Amino acid sequence: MGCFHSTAAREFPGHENPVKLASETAFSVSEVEALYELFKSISSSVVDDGLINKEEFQLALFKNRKKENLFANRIFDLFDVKRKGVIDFGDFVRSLNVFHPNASLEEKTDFTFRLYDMDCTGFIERQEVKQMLIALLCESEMKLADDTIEMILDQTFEDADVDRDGKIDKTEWSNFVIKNPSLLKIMTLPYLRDITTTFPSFVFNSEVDEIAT
Amino acid sequence: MEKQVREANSVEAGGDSGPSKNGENHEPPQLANLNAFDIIGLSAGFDLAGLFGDVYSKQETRFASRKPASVIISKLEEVSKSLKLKIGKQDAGLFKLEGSNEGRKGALSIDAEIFQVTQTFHLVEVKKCNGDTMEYQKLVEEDLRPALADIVLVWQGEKEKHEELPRVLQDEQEEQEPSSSSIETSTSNMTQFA
Repeated sequence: MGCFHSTAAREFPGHENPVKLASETAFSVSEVEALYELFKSISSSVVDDGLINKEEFQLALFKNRKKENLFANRIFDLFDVKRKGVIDFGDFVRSLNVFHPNASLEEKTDFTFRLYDMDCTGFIERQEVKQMLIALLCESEMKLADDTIEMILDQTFEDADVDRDGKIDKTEWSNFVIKNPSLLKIMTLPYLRDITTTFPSFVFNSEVDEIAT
Repeated sequence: MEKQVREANSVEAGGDSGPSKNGENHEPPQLANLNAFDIIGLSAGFDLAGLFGDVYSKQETRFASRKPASVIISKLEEVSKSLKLKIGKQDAGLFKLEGSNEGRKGALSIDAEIFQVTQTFHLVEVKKCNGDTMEYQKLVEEDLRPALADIVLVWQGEKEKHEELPRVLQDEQEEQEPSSSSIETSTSNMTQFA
């Protein structure tokens, strides 16, 4: 390995150190470097300022920078860890880390709880779930009668809202997720494992890493 | 409520879901029910694959259907046969479709899983299990989609790709169920649901 060890990583001026980010996440240094390539292309797509704003996020997700989506907004808000209205590289890596196949169940459960707790009250209220359900049906051009929507909510809350207070707290959510693991399906991106192949950073670095391993 | 259920049944019997009245006795074992969060999770806004560009091409897709499960299953069987795919039932609602030709990456294997929202509203998830992704996508686009057209209400993500298509499907839907009140009445079947 010698002097080609991956700790001789590139620095990214103005952004968090990749070695530090790697040490705090499931990503290796090469993987963080690969994520930087991805970050660079997204963050420069509308305004070249080294930050991902809402439009750039929408452009990356939907190929349409003007496309508004309730759920994409929630994801954006959660990625925007410091609540600055933009996502920096550190936010990007740390947030994607939760989607890594190796991230803990607890981290993924916590993320989804915060995702669905739209008004950040610490509870997922029935009204919030209804709003999200209606938004999804609208997005998919599926129509369901009010009765049906209420019935789906009834059934869901009967399963999840154990103390019957009309809202789902963190503990109830954890237990609900354990019973319904498919709820966390959206929280894992299996190809995060192949990120270095998809987004090779400087050819020199990736060749070096291959030789080192 | 009772009265509504009876009325709903007679409306259903008049429509194209007549057979399902008897078919209810032959319904497959309990299909997985989708809860509110399962449905919400289907949003394209949660699909971060787009962040990674076109590299991670879709290996799964979903469609909604207004048909009862028995009709969807028959249709899947019929379509599999015509596409020379072997169809095998795994679990309640899960079907495996297998090609016999050894493609570039082994025989193509597709899962089709039916989830129930209501008795006349289902979501079917189609995903590649094995084989070449491009071959899978070709099969879905060129063969499966046209063949399933008469049971499909709308495909996921269709709105962005083909603005026209969902409207056409919805028009066809309206022709078969002329009264929008059938949407209302069919949901009263929900009393049996719980």
